[in-house]
Amino acid sequence: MVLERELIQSRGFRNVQEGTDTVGFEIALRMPNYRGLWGSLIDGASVTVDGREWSREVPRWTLQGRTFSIEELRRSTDVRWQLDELATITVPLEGGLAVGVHDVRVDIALYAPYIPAEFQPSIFTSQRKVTVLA
Amino acid sequence: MSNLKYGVSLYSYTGDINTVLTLEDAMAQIADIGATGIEILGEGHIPNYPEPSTAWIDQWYGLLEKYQLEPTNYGSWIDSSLWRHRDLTADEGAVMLARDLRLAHRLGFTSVRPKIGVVSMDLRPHPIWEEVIERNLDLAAELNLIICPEIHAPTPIKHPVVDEYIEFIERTGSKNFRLLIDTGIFQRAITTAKHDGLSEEAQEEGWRKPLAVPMSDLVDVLPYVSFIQAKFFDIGDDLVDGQIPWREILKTLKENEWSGYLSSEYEGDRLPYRSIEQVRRQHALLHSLEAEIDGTP
Repeated sequence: MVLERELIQSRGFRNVQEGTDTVGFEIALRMPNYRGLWGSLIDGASVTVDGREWSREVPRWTLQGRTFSIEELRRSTDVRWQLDELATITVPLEGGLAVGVHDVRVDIALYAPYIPAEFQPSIFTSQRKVTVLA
Repeated sequence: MSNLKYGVSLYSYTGDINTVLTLEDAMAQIADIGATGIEILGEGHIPNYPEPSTAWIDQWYGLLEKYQLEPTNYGSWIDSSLWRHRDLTADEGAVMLARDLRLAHRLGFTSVRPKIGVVSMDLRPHPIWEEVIERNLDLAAELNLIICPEIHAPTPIKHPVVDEYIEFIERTGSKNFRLLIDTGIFQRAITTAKHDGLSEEAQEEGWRKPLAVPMSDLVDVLPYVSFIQAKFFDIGDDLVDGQIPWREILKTLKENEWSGYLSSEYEGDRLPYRSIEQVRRQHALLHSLEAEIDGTP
């Protein structure tokens, strides 16, 4: 399946329900790097929606059907973010986001061990308007 | 007698692959410019790496047949700092490389480039490299694969890292360890191409500074070179590459009777479809220069 060029995908942007409560929102992301990575090389993604920011430590990551806190992902050994697979990050937010268009920015931090530590991690930024339907 | 063959690394199509190009589209592009070799990145282009489905492997061989392409080099990684709390051990690195050697062989490749994590600003590889490679030399021989670390800017040819690789070849006497040269080391002029994810400072240090390695240094190591990644950034409408001295590179390879693949690595701006056109220009340029050097107009 062809992915959108922007790292932030339109599809997959939605609120998350737990029972009858809306507990947060999700964003689907395309891998910004030129190769897929083992999950432990992902150092997180900070998220800004309409000016409100969440740090790299906050979002939970769902990769290959499994969900991790960023701390768990940094120590993981057997999960990958592939070029042809989306990562879903989940941000906790009571009540979720309002239905409609939001200005979303992510700064994704990735490690590349073949680049000197002084220049690590690499930060990949994507910002666009995306729509919550429900 | 020199025999230069031309291929393309799927790295060239970074950003376009999976968004505007499928694997088959990319292979059709490579075949259309008369290239015969395809280079891939194991961790980049194999769905469900490191365990592709047999259906995908069948598709891979079907496409190679359809587009008459041969697998050349397979890029792998030995991520020595895979975690922040500890380094990779030599055991773990050896297992990783063995896994990639087997997978590369299964997909029909003839060489594997391990990209090894570094421990210093001048890109010294993590000290596990030697044990990791040495423990895989027999497997490489059995699978008929050459392991070839790449010599990549900002590391020039006259550098302790390259000296150590050559000492390793001499000491082990192995035919299964050679060098891969990335033509970015011959860069003569600055490039304005953006490298996603890296700070201005990092780009300045690593990619923008023309290293301008002289051809005489290439001549010195050419007997150890098994593969060339034809790195470039921008070729103009007049088929001029302002950064990489292709005429000198081809002349040096031919005069010294080097045979093997030049595999395109476009590393310029990542605008949709730009990579496709840039790779075509590079092949047009290389073919015309080769004809000129051979004296056949």
